[in-house]
Amino acid sequence: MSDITARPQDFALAEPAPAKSRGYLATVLRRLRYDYVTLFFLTLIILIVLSAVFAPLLAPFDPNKTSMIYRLKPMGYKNFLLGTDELGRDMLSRLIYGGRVSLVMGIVPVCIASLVGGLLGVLAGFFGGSLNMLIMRTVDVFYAFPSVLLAVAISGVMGGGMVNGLVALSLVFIPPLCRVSETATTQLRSLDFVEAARASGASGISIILHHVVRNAAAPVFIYASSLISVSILLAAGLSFLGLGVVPPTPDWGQMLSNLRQAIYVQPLICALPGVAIFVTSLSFNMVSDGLRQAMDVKA
Amino acid sequence: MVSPKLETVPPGDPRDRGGKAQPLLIVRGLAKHFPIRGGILNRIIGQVCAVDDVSFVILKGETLGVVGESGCGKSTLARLLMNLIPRTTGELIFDGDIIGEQGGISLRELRRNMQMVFQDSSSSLNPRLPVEDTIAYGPRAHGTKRKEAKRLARELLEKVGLAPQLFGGRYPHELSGGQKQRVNIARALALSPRLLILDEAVSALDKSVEAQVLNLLRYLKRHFNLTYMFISHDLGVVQYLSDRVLVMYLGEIVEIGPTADVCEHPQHPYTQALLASQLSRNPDERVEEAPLAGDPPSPVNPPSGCRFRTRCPHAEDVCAGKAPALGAWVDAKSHLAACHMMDPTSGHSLAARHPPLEGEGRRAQRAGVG
Repeated sequence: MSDITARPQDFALAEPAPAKSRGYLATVLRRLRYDYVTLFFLTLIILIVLSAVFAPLLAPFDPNKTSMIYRLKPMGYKNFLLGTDELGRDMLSRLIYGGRVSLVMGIVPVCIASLVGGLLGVLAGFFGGSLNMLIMRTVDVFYAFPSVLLAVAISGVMGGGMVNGLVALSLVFIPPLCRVSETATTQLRSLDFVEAARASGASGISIILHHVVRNAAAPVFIYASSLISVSILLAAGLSFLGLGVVPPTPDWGQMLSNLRQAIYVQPLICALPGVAIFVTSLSFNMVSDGLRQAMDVKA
Repeated sequence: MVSPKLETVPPGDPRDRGGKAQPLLIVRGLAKHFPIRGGILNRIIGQVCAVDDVSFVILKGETLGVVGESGCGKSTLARLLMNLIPRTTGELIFDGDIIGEQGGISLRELRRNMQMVFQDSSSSLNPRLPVEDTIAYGPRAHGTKRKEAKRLARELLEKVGLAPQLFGGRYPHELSGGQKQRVNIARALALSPRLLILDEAVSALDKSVEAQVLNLLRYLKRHFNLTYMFISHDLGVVQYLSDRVLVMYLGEIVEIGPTADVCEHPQHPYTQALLASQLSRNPDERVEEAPLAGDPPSPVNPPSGCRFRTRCPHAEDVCAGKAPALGAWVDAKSHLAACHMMDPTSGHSLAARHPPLEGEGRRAQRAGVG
């Protein structure tokens, strides 16, 4: 190689430069902008969240004020837009306030489980070997139980109440999220860019943060978003069984449970909490589906 | 921690500690055996001898080509040299310092001095990181300030022929294969290494892009005073770039020597077959038969004696009996082959007919190569 004559112009780029660069997030947002179904359900979620946040301003009545006179009145009776429940409380106000509990019970456990499960999965996937064995086999034990049964069992042992419900639901969602994150990490670990990062002398923690988490986050996030609706339903189920929030705090699941005795008197009003649960969880599901499609950017 | 500098490295490299005669890398008795586990108890039931007792040196400033068919252990060898996988036995000496032992060079220090360009240009770049950040990652991991690392990355992009303001913020999926491989090369250079291992670095590119990247590699080698270990299955490319060639078969070195020597006077039957399998551009010189039939034997259960004997046209009893030695390596002009036919004392019937090794060396010197 003493006769090196190659000059920069000899290896100059022959191909034209590609068009303007877009970041990953910008690509995802641009895709979402044309997905009208997802946008519609996203708007619904925003409305539900806003109504929950500003419940004291929006609710026409005190949700806990009982009245023996106005029990189980139909929709539109006097000022009760959506009627009243078995204790004469305004349904609309209770539904608005109930959204607070449902949203918290839907989102918080999934967030906690994403963090804990995602982290456990990344550790198991990245380090492999006996750590993987330990984490994933423990997770498998949780898999042996149906999620509803597990949530009920944990809540039952710890007793009712909102915090216990949150803990129970978080525990239920850790195994599936851990598994998703472990699968993604295991796939990533065999790719050359992780190897190249190791070859550059970076520490394990740095590689996990810069290379693994960045790439494993998308599948975990997509899966987690689909779990929000499941979490809302499970929380409603716990409340229905009396393992959720303590009365008289309004909660959709509990309202459903209490109103079921009045199903022959006011069937429409009995169905209202169910409709609220259905619409909220459907919205989260649809948005999750839309996100899955939008985030599937070719790597 | 010194931040990596990126001016042209002068031939009198201040990082050179052992002097010109000290090889940059000495590999001694390197082996990697992958265990095969099976059964209920996950016991070791066998092993794949991916690389077996390999010894060679890489001289300062040279390009050592490594050829061999798929599965012969080329990539495993590269990963062993990079210390990406633990070696079973053997030692590595970088510029006089033994690697990974007391009093030698630390693994972290070695990684500043030795870098690798991977074969698959797309999977070797993080899809969620702009290429600029990918290049800057190595120096950042070694303690360079963010701003300085960014400047370095942009300078390197320029050096590999990509306009930094146009390509720096781009993601890998927005680049072509050749552009990605340029980024990979820039990433490998970011720590200003002295030895660059190129593992099939141009194999996945189409021919015109391959030529550009090869020219780029030649330019960079002079510019940064680099030493290359160039792994490829393409003999033509290796001939173009290398000073010396190392031929591997089933995890062992079968022949090593100056490129012109090895290509013009191959001594090992495997090298001969490999060269014969190169297609000619002249249709009259059509190759009708494959020079080498069949697949290489399994590295789980390699043949006894010479590993090539199952496919060798000259195999005799002696080949099954004992393994031929490569012989002692002397200097850059040494041309060695691990074959009984090269050793008059081996008892092979064709051994006497071959000229002794010194004759080969002299012939090469007369021809003005080496």
